[in-house]
Amino acid sequence: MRQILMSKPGEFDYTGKRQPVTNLAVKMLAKVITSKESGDEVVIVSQKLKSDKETEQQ
Amino acid sequence: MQLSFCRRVYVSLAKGLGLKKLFYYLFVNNKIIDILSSRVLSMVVPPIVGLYYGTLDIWGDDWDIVTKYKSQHEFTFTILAGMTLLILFVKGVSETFKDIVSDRYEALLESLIVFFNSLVKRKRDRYFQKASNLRPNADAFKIFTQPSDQLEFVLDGTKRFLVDGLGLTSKQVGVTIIEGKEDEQRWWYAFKCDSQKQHTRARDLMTGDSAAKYALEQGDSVFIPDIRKGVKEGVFFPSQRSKKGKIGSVFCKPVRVNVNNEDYVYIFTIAVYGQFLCTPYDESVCKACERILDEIADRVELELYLHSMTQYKENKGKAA
Repeated sequence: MRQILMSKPGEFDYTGKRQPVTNLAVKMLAKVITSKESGDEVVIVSQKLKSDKETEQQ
Repeated sequence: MQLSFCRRVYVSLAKGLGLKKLFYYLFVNNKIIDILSSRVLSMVVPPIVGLYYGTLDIWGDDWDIVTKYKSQHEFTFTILAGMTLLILFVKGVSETFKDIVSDRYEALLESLIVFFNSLVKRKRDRYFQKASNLRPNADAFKIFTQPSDQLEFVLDGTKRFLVDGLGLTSKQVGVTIIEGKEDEQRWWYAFKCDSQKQHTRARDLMTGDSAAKYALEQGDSVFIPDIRKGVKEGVFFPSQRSKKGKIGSVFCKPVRVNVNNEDYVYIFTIAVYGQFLCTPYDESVCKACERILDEIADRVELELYLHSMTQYKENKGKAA
C-alpha cells in the first residue's frame, strides 16, 4: 500500500508561504487524472514507521 | 475586461498586503461564504428587495400597512438592502478568487498533459522513423522500444512538470532512478535527470536509513512531504544538499521486475530541497499531490519493465 508520511500539525516550524491557490489546483487535478478510489494510500503521522520496523525485525 | 481588471486589483492587493491567505479564508474557504454566495440567495434576495422597494415607493402613501408601520419597514428595507450589498460583494470576490484557482488549475493540467503527450509523441516519432527502414530480419523490439532513451525523456519531463506546473525551483529538484543487485548489495544510478549533478552515493542510500530503502522494503511508493519528518522517523538519509536546503520533500517508488527468474530492482525518486512539493501538514493536499506523483511514476514503471527486458535480452545474448 502506498504510504504518505505526514507531519503532525505544529510538529515543525513552517515559516514559508502557504499556497492556497496551488493547493486547490493540485486537488482538482488529482481528482481529474486519477480514477483510483480514496483509501489506496495510507497516511502515517506518528512513530509508527519505527515501531513497524522493530516489530518486523523481532 | 472588467473581470480581468478586478482580478488584477484583487491579486495586487492580496499580494501587496500579504493577505492572500486571509482573503482565501474570508472569501472562499468559509461555510458562511458558501451560504452567502449560493445561487439561491443571489437569485432570491435582490428581486425581493427590488419588489419591496417598488411597493414602498409606489403605494407607500396609499397603503395603511405601510404608513402605520413606517419605522418597521425602514428597518426591514435597510436589512434587506444591506444583505443584497453583502451578497453581491462576497459573490464578486469569491468568483474572482475561483477564477484565479481555475487559471492555476488550467496551467497545472496543461503542463501535465503536455508532459504525457510528449511521451507519446516521442514514441510515435521514433516508431515512424524506424519503421520506414525496418529490415525483415531486424530486432524490432530493440529498435522500437529503446527504454533508456524514453526513461531519460520521462525524467526530464517530470522535472519540467514540477518546475512549470508546481512552480518549483529547477536547481533544487532531483529526479533519479537507482538500480541494483539486492543479493550483492550493489547499487548505482541508472538514470539521473541532470547527469552532472552530484547525488548521494546510491550504495549509501540503499544501505542507510533512506526513503528509497524504506520504499523497497515496503514494496510500494512512499511520499514524505517534509523530509524533517523522514529524518525524525529514520526513513530519510540526510545528504549535504538536504542539510543545506533544510526543508524538502521526497517521493520514492520501487519497481521490481522478474524476467525469467532474474530480478531487476529499481527505485524511482523525486527529491526537492529548500521547498516543498505541497503543504506538508495538509492531509488532503498531500494525498492529492501523491496521486499525481504516482501517476507519473506509473509511466516510469512501464518503461522500466521494457528496460529490464532489454537488459535481460542483452545480457543473455552476450552470455550465449
